Amino acid sequence: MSWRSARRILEAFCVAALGLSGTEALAQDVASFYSGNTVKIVVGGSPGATPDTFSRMIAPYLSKNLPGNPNVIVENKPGAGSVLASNLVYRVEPRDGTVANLFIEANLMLQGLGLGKNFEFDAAKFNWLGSGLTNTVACAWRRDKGVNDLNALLASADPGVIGSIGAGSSGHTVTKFMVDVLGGHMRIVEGYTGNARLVLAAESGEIDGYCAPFTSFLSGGRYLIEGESSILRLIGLFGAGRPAHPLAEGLPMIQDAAVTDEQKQIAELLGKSLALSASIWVSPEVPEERVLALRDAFAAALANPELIAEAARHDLIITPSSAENTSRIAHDLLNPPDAVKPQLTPLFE
Amino acid sequence: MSEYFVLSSFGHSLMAVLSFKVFIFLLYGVGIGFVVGLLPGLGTAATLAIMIPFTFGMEPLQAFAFLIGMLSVTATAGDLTSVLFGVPGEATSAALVMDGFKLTKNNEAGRAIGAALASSLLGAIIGAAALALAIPFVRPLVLLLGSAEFFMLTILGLSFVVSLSRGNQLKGIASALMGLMLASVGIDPQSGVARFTLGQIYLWDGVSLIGLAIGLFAIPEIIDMVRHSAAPKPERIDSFAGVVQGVRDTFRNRWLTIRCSLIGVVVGVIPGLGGSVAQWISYAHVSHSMPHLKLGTGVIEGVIGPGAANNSKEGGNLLPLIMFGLPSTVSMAILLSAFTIHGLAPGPNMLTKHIDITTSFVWMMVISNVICVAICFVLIRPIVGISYIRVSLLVPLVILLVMLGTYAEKNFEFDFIVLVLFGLMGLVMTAYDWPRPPFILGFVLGGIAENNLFLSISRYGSDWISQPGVLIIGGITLVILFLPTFRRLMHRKRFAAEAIEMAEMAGDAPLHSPRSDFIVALGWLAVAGWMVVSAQSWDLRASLYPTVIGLPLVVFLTALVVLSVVRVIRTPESTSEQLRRFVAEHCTGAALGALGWVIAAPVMIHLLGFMIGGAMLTLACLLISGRERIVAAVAISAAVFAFFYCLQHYGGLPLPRGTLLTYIGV
Repeated sequence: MSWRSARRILEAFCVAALGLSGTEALAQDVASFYSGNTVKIVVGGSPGATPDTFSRMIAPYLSKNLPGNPNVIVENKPGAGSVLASNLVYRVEPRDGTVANLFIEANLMLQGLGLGKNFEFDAAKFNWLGSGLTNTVACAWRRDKGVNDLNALLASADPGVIGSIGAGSSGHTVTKFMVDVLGGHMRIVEGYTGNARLVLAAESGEIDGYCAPFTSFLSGGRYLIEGESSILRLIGLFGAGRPAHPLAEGLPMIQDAAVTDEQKQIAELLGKSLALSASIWVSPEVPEERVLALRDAFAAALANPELIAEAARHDLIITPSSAENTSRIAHDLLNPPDAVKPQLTPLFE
Repeated sequence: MSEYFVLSSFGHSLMAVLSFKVFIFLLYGVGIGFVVGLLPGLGTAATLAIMIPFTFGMEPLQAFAFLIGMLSVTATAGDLTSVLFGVPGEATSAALVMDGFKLTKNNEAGRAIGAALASSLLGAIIGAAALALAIPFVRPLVLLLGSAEFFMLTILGLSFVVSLSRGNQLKGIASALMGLMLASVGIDPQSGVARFTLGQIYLWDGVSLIGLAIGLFAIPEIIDMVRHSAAPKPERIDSFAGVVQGVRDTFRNRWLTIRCSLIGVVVGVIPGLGGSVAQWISYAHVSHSMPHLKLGTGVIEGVIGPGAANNSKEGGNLLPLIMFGLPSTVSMAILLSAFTIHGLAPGPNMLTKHIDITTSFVWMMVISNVICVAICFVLIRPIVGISYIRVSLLVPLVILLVMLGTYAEKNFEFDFIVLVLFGLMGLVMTAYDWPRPPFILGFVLGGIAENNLFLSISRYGSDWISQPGVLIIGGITLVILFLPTFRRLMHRKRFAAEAIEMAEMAGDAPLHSPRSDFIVALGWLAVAGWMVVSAQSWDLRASLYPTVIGLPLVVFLTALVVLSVVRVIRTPESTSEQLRRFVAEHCTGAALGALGWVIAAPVMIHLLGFMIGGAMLTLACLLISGRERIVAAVAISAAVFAFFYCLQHYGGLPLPRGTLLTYIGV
């Protein structure tokens, strides 16, 4: 028997002997469980990407706010669009509240549309802790192509070539929305290996525009959209809301171009998906009191002004979504209306 | 931007970097980078990601001094591990195993280290100088490169395969084609088809590069080290004298060092080629430019070339990052986040408003490498002394470093399977003279080539071939391919003499059994054939690349099978005699024992984790194979336990717990 186990038994005995209330006893249990323990956030991406950055930022705040103040670390397990990491946390990793996973929102839609190849998890059963960021996608077009705004882009019979990373990326999903759902005539060239390659392709003229997370325009490629020598013009945003940033001011929301009920339904679902960037979950088998403790700690971390300031330095805007809200949105994404599935499916293939 | 403005900026930035409040952070970064580079498993990218939050309270120059100091020296430190242990400290140091570790086994570790350090330092200086000189005009050059040009650059890189196959062209080309074929494993980004994944989600992103590189290069070296441990060693050379000899060798080959450094810079500048390519292209250049050398047998030039390129590429990598915000590697992507945190945006502003910061990067790279090399020279005797430790003591420690390095890339135990499989493949390749560098070069470049080819076709249709950049790079490729043949024709007498000399040297080498060549070639032909046939059931976009690569591969392997059959018929030696010779040469008890420990290690780590599994493996290996005294074995095992404990609990590395321990609730 380990020292930790013996200590827990002794503490439980003391609690019972001293007649402490049930709630206090549970709190003692949670604190004693996490004390000296390590909590791991498993990220299905490489170091340096936004999910990893967010997880590393929030880790010390989670540690501070969890009863028992456990050590919180981040483990990178990249592969298969983050599905590998989610599979492992669901099936293999301990389900006692010491392992969490930062979930990629696109996988919710993939499961909902029945496209989840090799998914060994059921997102409908996740214990969501909440979500910390929203993803707003921005689309940009070269100024020398004579397309000055979103309406012109969608109306033009041959506006040019739009580059894309490929299925699974939020930029690709919005690109396909504009072409397949809104009827845009841009020619899609997909397969670029990252936002950085899209920046180079746009600047060299290989492509005429692209869509990517708004935050990516603020780091690499900022000079393309800002200043006198900018060659790209931001023409629209797609997401749950407009980022509080001067570059986003006055830009139209792409989903507002949806006209028919079907188009609006699809836009709404995609918007909800983007609202759950940086969502964290733990196994459905984690005891309820620990889930509640984790949720409280997550919410407290996201409300911490120091974390908010730290995120701002990374050009990330903390947009908290509670566990209940996250569960509600996840439910909607996992159960899209049958009527829109045929149009929604190609956006994720 | 006036020249005076830039020059004065260099002066200001040097003063700024040497100021105490910046220099101290540079020193911290160098210290951490040295340890990270030295130990396989402490990934540079992950360490950088962990260190980024520590830079929040720093001024921009302090933060970059810390991060660039760390980044600049990991390659040098990784080279030391490759030379001393035959284990690449970083994936970008694998080429140094080929000749560097051979020198160590010949008791010339000092010379190899001296050459690695000197070439690394010169490479870093040249890389920094290239960064400084190229800043004003690299932007328009890179903007000329599109997907079609990137594809042609990978073809140019692959043309060096011919040089790397010197002496065995057929096997070399087949090796390269196998590497190219292996690069197609995974989800095809164009069509979404899962290619050759055997139903395993682990293979969706392809085969792990670090598992492959370490398996292919480190495992055969471990076995070889054990196999020859009983053989009489050459007389031990004084460490410092050896190091001085290595430094002299570097300066004697100064033009080679400069050329390889420039190769590193160019490869680093080209976005998307990745960190591993520079070392192999420079290694191929050594072979190409010095055909009289027998690379892979412990020639010092095989250390100098990749050593220089490995460091100079960091200067090259910084150029697209500063100019475009284009990270070429994961480490550079993390450095990009440092730009954002400190309010900087890559692009033209880095040449005007923030020119002082840009020029300070140059000094940070140079100074951090000077400090690193100085530290190594101060510690040279203990560093070289490591190479004289008894092999029986080194084996379990090197095996555990190999496991740690493999696991730490993606934290998946599946990568152990990749390691062992490619370790066995590496053993077969070294035993039967199949060159490994073309294989890994093909693997590294294959994915990039296919991706850019399809982008080019999607964007330009068939017109991509007529792009000016494509024609120019194509022309350069043809020149590189045919220049050696042209030179031979022009200087027949001189090359005839060299050919006779090489034939005489080859005559001293043991003849490979034609029956074994037949079996190996036939085995690979079966695999290649299965891959080509499987590909035909996919749509055109998914099947085109494996078919285009697979068909010539099948042709080359068939030719090798036929040639080996012909040799079998002509060879008087019987099968039993050949088998006896093979067993005597390769299957010694010690070698099989070492292989057994290599296979046992991932099993023990899976069951018991790194701490307990690693300690128990060490204890068992030292007692059973090493026949060490029990006190020493227990002490070393305890040290192994403590090492992994500290890594996990203080270093924050998430090491596996061990399924058996998890099951019993420990």
